[in-house]
Amino acid sequence: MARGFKRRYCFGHALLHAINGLAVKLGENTSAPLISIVLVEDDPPTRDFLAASLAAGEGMALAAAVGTLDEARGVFAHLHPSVLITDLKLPDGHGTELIREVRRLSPATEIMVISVLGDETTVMDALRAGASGYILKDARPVNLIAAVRDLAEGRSPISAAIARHIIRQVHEEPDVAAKPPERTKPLLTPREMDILWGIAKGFTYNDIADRLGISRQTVPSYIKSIYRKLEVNSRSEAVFTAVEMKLIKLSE
Amino acid sequence: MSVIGGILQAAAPFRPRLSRRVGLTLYYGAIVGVGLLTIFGKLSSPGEGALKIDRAEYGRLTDIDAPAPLGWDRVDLPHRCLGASSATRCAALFRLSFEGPGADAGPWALYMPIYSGRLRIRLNGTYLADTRDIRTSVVLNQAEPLLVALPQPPLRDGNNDLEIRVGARTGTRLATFIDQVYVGPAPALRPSYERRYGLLKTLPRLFVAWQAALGLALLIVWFGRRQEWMYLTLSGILCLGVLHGLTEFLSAGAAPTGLLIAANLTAVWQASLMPGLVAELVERRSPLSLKWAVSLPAVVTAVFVLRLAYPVALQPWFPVVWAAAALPWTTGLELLAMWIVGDAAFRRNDAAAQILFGGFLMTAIVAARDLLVFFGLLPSQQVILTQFTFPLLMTIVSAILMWRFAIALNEVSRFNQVLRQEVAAVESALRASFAREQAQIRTAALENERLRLTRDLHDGLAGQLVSIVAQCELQGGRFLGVSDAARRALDDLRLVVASLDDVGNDLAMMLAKFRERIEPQLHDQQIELDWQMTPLPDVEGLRSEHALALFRVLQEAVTNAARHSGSRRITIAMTAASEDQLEVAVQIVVADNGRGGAAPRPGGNGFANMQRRAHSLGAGLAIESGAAGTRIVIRLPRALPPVPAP
Repeated sequence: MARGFKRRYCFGHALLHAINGLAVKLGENTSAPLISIVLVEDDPPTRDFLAASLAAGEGMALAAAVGTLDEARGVFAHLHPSVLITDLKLPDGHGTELIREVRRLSPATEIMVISVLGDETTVMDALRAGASGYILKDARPVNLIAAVRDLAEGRSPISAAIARHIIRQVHEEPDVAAKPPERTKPLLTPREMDILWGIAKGFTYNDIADRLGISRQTVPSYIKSIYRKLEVNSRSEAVFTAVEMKLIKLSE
Repeated sequence: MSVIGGILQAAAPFRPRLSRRVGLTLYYGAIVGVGLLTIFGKLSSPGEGALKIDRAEYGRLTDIDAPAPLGWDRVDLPHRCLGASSATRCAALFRLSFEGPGADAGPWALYMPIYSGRLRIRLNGTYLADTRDIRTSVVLNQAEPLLVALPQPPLRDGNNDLEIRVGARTGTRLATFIDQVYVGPAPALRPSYERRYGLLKTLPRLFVAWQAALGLALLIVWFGRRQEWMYLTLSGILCLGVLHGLTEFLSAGAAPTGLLIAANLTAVWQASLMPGLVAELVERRSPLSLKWAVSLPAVVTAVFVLRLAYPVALQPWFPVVWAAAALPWTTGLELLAMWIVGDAAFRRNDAAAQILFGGFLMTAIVAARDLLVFFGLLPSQQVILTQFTFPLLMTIVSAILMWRFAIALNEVSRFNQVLRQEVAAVESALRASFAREQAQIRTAALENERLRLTRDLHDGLAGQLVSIVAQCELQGGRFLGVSDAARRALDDLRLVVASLDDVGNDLAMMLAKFRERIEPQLHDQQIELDWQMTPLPDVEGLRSEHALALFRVLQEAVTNAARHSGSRRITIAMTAASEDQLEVAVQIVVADNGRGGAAPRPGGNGFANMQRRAHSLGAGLAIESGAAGTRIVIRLPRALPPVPAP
């Protein structure tokens, strides 16, 4: 019985995957490609509500909505969705584990964290694990759908608090005498720092774009690039050690 | 000292070389001038009223006590008399005659400007004086002036006979010498006598005292700084000079033989110490080690001591030792010292050496002059000056050392000052670092507390509220009211959490967090937020309590506009107040383009709450509502009150 369920489950997912691939292929020919989404959220009412909201979103296809880390791994054994939306606190583990695995198994998948309050350290952990964005779980479908669409198009959201947090880590180091020179190489470009400052100070993307002479649409793309630089993996471990080092010497 | 200082300063590399050369030339010129003065200079003679006797009958004696001369000659005065051979000494009888004064003349005296040897004087057969006989072998200045009172009688009116017996002093190798003789009223002779006495007797004693004082001072310096052997060496040379000069203070026959011998040996020892001393002074290694330098003086001293023990057996050898060893040795080492100094002065341009070389120049001139005097080739001079050259050299060396000492002290003071400044700087840096660390610890503790609170709210309350909202939304219908209330509770919770963030006094950063809260809410109601941010100044004393009060005022204003104005667009504009508005830092305007007419409603306390909260911030709140819409203007002060009222 259980075996049969599992087989059907697997079959179902394989089918979904096939359909998804077809949808993407079809989408190449249409103006708006379909965004396939996997949702991981442990609270059933919240999960159902978010699933319903996403399903109602135009151009979006909810591929799976699961409640545990284990189930999510099962899904990613077969699926490579455009977007993964995951809660961090899961009954059988932490969302950052899933983020790391998905970054490795499915590099094309954009990862969005959905959390309730999103303190900076939690969000930073998720970003370092490889998340490209995060959104408050405030159950307003309009905002959720807009955020997912932005993410799928390579634009990442950011909050003033996170912008400030990143600035504090990489920038505000007036006199750290002891740090070795190879770790002081700038992690972020001046433009990226300007954008972070603008966001931390409450300027809109329009204001920032005007001031820096760039297109408003590119501002969230810069954010994504910043997140990528924060990501910890074997390739950029040194960069992260530098961030960690500076984190220890935070001063304000 | 000032000349030396000037030249030493001139040694500094930034001084022009020309002035140094001119200074040195003047210095050496002055030294040569003084040297020539010692050779050709003449002391003044007695003035008016004195009778000069420059001829005498001369009779050679076998001994000063011999009854009568062997024969008579006539000689001119001054007369210099050597023994017939080097083994015998000169002894002679001089007979002079002069016209005496009248009976009522004042006191008369006999004055001989300079003599050397022993004199015995008779006037008209009366024994008047016998100069003291110092039994000494010290080769020093034994030339001195003589003033003898001529009592009346034996001085008589008319022709007077003066008999002067001359003998060599025991032990001395200097020629016996008598000058011209002056007789006359004592007041006319005395000034000249006193001048000469001061120059030939008092001045050398002062030199001895000066050497003693300087030697003692340098010895004390050495006691304080044991590693500076130069001070001890110098002090030793000066003390030897004092030992030598002690004979100046001896009265006739009172000198112990040992002291006299020791005094006689001082020059050998002094010369032996010189090369080492000057080499150290010009910072060069001495070519002769101290051990070898003192070897010969030790041998000579031993010979002298032995001579004391066996005077008869060893006496004949003494002159041999003296002439063959001590004298060449002394001269040789002096020349070595001079060569060391000259080499440093002219090959390396060492300023101290250039000054010291002047001293050696003087020593050389005086030594040459004294040799001439010794052999009677300078008839006008009788005084041996070599004994003064050591004190002169030592004075120059001391001056150089003291100058260096002063410079070293200056250096120490400067170093102290630098050190004190550096210590003060390090101290203040440490203090600042400590304060920063304390502030960081405090900030970190607050941050941890905020994070803990945020996570607790996240895990519990907020998650539950989201779940309630989700369930109500899924149910729809009559549950939408509950959903709305739960969502407002969630929004307020987030405002509280947002206000907890520590942004210092940066109001813009705090307002940015409000925007993140309010924008999704308006978006959900299809209302556009026009957020107009401009660079804002810091607001003093910004704390979480202030931020939350401000957030609630703004939330209330935005909520009212969204509910009642009917406008689809709400503007929040933040501007820095102009400079002339002294009290106001930032002005925030929440505006809609709706129907206006906003006024306190009966039963509603929204505006009252806003006013109360604005008041707690020390901020002004104005509501302008008309046909063009409603504007709520909040003016934040430059410094917020310390503790806002609840």
